[in-house]
Formats: sequence, C-alpha cells, structure tokens
Amino acid sequence: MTLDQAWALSRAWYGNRLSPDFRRPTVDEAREIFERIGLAGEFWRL
Amino acid sequence: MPTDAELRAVRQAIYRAIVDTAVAPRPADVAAGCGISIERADAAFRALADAHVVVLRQSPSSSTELWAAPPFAADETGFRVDANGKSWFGVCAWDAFGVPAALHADARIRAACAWSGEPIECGVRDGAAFGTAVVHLLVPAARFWDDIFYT
Repeated sequence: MTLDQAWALSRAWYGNRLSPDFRRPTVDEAREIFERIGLAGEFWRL
Repeated sequence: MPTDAELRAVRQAIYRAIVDTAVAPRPADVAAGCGISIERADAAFRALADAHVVVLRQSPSSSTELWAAPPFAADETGFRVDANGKSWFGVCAWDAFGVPAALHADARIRAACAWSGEPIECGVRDGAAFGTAVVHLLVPAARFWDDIFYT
C-alpha cells in the first residue's frame, strides 16, 4: 500500500487507541475501513 | 477474571506510560496506580493480550511482559518514530504510521528498505503523509493474528 494509504489506515485503526473509550474495530468495521481506503482484493478479505 | 473497569484502567495506564516515557510498563508498574493488586494487573495484561489489544512476550509462556502495545513496540525495531520531541519504535511499517495516528501528531519515521537495505525517511507532516516508499505486508489480513510476531 502507498504511504497515503498507510497513514489513512493508521488513523482509522489507531486514532482512538489512547482514548478511554477505545475498542478494537469489529470485523465489519475493519472491512469498511479497508474498502474506504482502497485496500481491496483477496489479501484484505476478512 | 478482571472487570471491564480494571481492563480499561490497566490499558490506559499501559499506553500512558508508553506515551510519557517510551518504556513499556510491567504489571507491577501500573497496579498501584490502578488501585489493584499485582496479581490482578497480571490477569489484566493477559486478558488484554487475549483480546489482541496488547502482545506479550512469547517466552516464557507465563510472561506478562509486553512485547508491544500496538502500534508501540516495547523493544527497538527497524521503524523508529520521532514525534513530540520523543522517540518510539513501531511494531511494523503500518504501525510506524500508527504512532503519529495514536498521538495525533506529526512524525518522522526512519526505516530501511526490506529489499535493498536503503534508508527510508518518511512520516507525517502537517497532517499528511510524506515520503516515497510503499508498505509491503506479507500476511493476508485474515491471518494477521495467526502469528503476530511474524506478521
């Protein structure tokens, strides 16, 4: 993935990591994140 | 089994320590501040690892020492991240960008090309990624946690 994608993925994945309300993305949320960032195909399938 | 409140307190204490000191704490380091015993803190570390929030060292199997509190690695890696006047190490290339994402800060990342060994400098400036590298992951997303140490 490009660095722009890595940054977008990181913001979606880790942006709330330090928050008291943090929770890991659900599988559906992870799929939505991958799709939104353009990470598609078998490699990114959950 | 730790309560949700204990898990939240321990998780926050782990990340607060890493952000403040760049050193991964042990259960004994956070227990008192969380108002729990070291045994309860040990159990919370294990539960957070089971939930894939943190990763404990592999050896010994009873270890409650952190290997990583993603995106932050407990040890030096090939992905150094400088931000807010401090330095951390990302677990991998993705997590190197995860550090400024977690901190909501700009960052300078220093790594090396896995193929050529050439130094790579990239990061986040004014909220946008800079640099010319690409991130190559070896393990498909569905199998990230099969062996997180390899991933």
